[in-house]
Amino acid sequence: MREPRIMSDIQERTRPRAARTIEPPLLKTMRAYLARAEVVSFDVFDTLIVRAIAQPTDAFALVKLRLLTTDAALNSPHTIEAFPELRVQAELGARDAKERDGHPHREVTLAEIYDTFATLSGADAALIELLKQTELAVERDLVYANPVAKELFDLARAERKTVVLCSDMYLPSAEVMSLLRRCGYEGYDALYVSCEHACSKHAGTMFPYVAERHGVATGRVLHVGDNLYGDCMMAREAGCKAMYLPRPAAPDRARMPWNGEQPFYPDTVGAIVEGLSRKREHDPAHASADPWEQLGFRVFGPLFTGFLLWLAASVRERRPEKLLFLARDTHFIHQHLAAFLGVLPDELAAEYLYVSRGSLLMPSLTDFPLPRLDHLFSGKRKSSVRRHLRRLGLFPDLFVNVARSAGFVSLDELVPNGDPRMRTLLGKLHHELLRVAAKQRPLARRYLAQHIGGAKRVMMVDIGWVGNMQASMIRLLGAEHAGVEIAGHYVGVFRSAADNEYPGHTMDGWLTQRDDRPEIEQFLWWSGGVEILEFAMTAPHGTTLGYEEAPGGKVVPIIESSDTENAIGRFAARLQKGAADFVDDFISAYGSIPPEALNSRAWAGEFYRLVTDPTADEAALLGDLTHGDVAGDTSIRLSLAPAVADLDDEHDRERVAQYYWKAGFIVRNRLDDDDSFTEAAYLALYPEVREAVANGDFESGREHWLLHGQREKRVASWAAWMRSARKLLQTGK
Amino acid sequence: MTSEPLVGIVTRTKNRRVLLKRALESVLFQSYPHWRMVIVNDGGDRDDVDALVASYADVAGDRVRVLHNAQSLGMEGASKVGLAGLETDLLVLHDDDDSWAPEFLAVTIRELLQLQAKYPAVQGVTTYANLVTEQVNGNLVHTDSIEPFNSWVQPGFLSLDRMLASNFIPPISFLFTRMAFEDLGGVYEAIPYLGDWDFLIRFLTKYEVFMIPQYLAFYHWRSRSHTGVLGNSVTGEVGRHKFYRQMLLNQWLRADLAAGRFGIGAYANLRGHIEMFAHHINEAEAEPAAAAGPANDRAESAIAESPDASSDLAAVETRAAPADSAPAGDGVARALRRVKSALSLRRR
Repeated sequence: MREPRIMSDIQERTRPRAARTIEPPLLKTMRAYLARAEVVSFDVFDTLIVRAIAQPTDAFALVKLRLLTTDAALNSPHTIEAFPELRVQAELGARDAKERDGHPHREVTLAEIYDTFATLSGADAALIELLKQTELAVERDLVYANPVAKELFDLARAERKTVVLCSDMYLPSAEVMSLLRRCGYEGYDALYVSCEHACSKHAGTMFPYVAERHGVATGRVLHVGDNLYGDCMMAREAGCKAMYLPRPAAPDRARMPWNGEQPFYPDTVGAIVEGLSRKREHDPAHASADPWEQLGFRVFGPLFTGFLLWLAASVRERRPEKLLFLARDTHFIHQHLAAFLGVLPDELAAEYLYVSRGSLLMPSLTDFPLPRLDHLFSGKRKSSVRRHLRRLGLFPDLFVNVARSAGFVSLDELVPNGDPRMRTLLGKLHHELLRVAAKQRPLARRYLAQHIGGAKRVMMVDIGWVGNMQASMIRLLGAEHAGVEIAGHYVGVFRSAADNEYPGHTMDGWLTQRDDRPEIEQFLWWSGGVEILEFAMTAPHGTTLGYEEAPGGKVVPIIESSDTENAIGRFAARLQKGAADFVDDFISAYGSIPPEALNSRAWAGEFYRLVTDPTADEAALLGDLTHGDVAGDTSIRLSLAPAVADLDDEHDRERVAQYYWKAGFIVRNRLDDDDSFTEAAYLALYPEVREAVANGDFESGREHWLLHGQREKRVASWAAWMRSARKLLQTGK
Repeated sequence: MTSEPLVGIVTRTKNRRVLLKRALESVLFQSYPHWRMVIVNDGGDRDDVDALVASYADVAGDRVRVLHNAQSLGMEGASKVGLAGLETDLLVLHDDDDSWAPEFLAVTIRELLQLQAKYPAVQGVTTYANLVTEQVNGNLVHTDSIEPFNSWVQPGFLSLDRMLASNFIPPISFLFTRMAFEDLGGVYEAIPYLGDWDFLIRFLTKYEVFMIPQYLAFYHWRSRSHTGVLGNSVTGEVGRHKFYRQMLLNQWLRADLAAGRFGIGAYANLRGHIEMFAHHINEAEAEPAAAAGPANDRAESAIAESPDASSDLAAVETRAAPADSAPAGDGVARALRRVKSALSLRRR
């Protein structure tokens, strides 16, 4: 099967380049400095070892979150609630006290800080000890070795220099050494922690002290550090050589204040994402140049982490007996959820269910609800009447006259979604369809029963969006499953899911729930969000075609042979590798925090930004993807946001509405500067105009604009549409 | 009744430790000391509840007792178990997520005794409540907002007529006599929701309840849509409320029909129609844009577009939504809206 040319274009454009190594100029400088130094001194925090979080003080919020579900929070809620602020105050207070008591410096130990903390908060000794230990545990989880600094460290040791470490820090040296060991630093000659030696780099007193202790002039000391003042200026003032090794900048992160879903801490999610992004920037080996992996790490890593946290929190709260993951979209989620669940009291069985619209829709047709018949013939690919009927289990030619009476000219006519003639035709065939469904039902039902077993409280996970699969499963449950409650968990649940509600079962969406703002459904999900997310969650196996009985009596799914030749699948796999890297990094640094504490919609911030405000690179990367499976089908499929030549006139600009990913199309075709009138954009922006036109009050949006819109200063372009979308998702208005 | 009657407090709980703690403290902080509390642990973790109660043993003395149900009986069933165990003159159902001001018992009991001296039909009292919207994260509770819940209620005798429309008295604010409770046959525990509404209606058919104009009770709602243990039964399960409401309305109407009278059943069902009528009139006067949500509009534009237009999954899904998923579905309202929209758009 030949791949469409466009896929191989993407392949070519996104081939990973060689990973970059440590910058040669830096090493050269280091060698030059080393030649003239006898003692090499390294700053510890943020130079040799880095915490995977935005600012060191953000770590205090993590202490609070780690204790969120403990008895300490139950018994001392105010202390835990205000811990980050109290901790900062306590350190300041301890330093002030040092100065007031006549010491020549402001260096304090951790114990002194917590003494002040006790005074500020009234906390008893047991709580203080718990807080202290938790702070140390958080530091331990967060630290990693800076690969660049490590290479310089190794180089200094290889050149047989005296290697010392100097830190302005309140932690005791034993703790610092333990952290260093954790990060692989051994064999240094000495560690000087300011609180133990009553001198600091910041005050300029550390360098002469160290030089003296090692019997050299300060001019023979080379100091390496990330702080411009303490590590460079003060070192130079003391006469040492200084080498500036700043932390790499983390990429800009999207801010999502409208979500307001972080009631207890300001943007801790953002701080975590920044810290993990910086960690990846730090590591030359890790920071591959594969744009799919990069996108996966930056956008989908946080998104999937947020979804997994929400799921884990829900599992812990509801305590279901069974977890069902529906193929194919939840493949990634199924793989990673265990890492988020921690220890559960009971055995929780998790199963991956091979289902699809094709395999469940007909078997679950237990009744004949006219409003929902569309699901029987709608889909991502347009098919002919003949193919639809055959897929539904009928012999199409038997019904050629019925099809004609429904309004079709021939059985080979293509059927668009929502075609009323198809509805009429299916209505006429109600008995035939119900009988076919009844024949298909037993196998599908048995397959489901195998996986549900005797469980009564079942939690089901799928991507979204209106709960058709859940409704199908509920209808397939036989008498032996009376009393089963299925709690559907989705990335999003749209308002039209109301149709699929069923007493005794629930549907919950993480990012959007039916009572939420419809504008967000429109600007985000219906403008590319659904398609982009479905691409990102593509599984490395084919779709479920149906079920059959294997020898031995077990019912097994028939799976379409895996599309390893499938380019989209390969891109998705690379994207998911990046996302998996983020998830792994998250677990190693933050796995000890209960999921309830970090459960927040803010994890979707970058994803929202990608869909509504992509960069030109992102638009180009994702825009050529086509939505739907690539299974050798030649039927019409549209790209998410292709580049189109000559978009000069209005007729062409109307086409934005056709494509899945509006913002991507606008950016790619440089329409985001163009404010000329576009009918489709005008209607998309103003629902009241849309309704007026639908009711016949005006002939078209343009008429309204000419008569009233211009005067009212309404904007009517895709550029304006994008600005509205961005504003809505950033401010909630 | 003596001048210092004993109050029986029943609290049903299930795995809501942080909220139960608050409820327990709200009782322990009461200035009026003559009460007995029964905590019914309805199928939740035993050790947690025992440990929590034990930690207050010095303040509580022997006034707090815990009953453990191995299997969950639901709100009303568990309450019945608790109430049965109390031989007190007065009773109150204190939900585990609600709370009292420290003077609640002192004020309500004093007022009840005074009122009964003049009006023997008064067998219950209630106070205004404040609605507290909050979020629970782990073991920390964060209050979002607080506002009066039912300050529109006139001080004085509660209206049975108004109660038949819907319940406006949260159980946390309702103190009543055991005599009346037993006379009425207790709380209807066969339904897991709205038992308090049913109880109040039957109560008011025979006795008076007096509204004391002081804000002594706090009615707490979790604002995020938790449908797990921390959710309210009101915010999380609106569907179930409708379900049981219909059941009650049917039962009452049947009783009337069987007895050949115009009673509570006929009255309550008719009131529902009047409410719906008023609702439709309000909707017709609402903004046109709000009445038809984007969901249906998308569907309309999907039909209007040419057959070659791409298959928008969402358009398909929303087409399946019934046409009257918008709030006001009838023809009159829609016609009104159309006229309004034409007028308002042209006026600008």
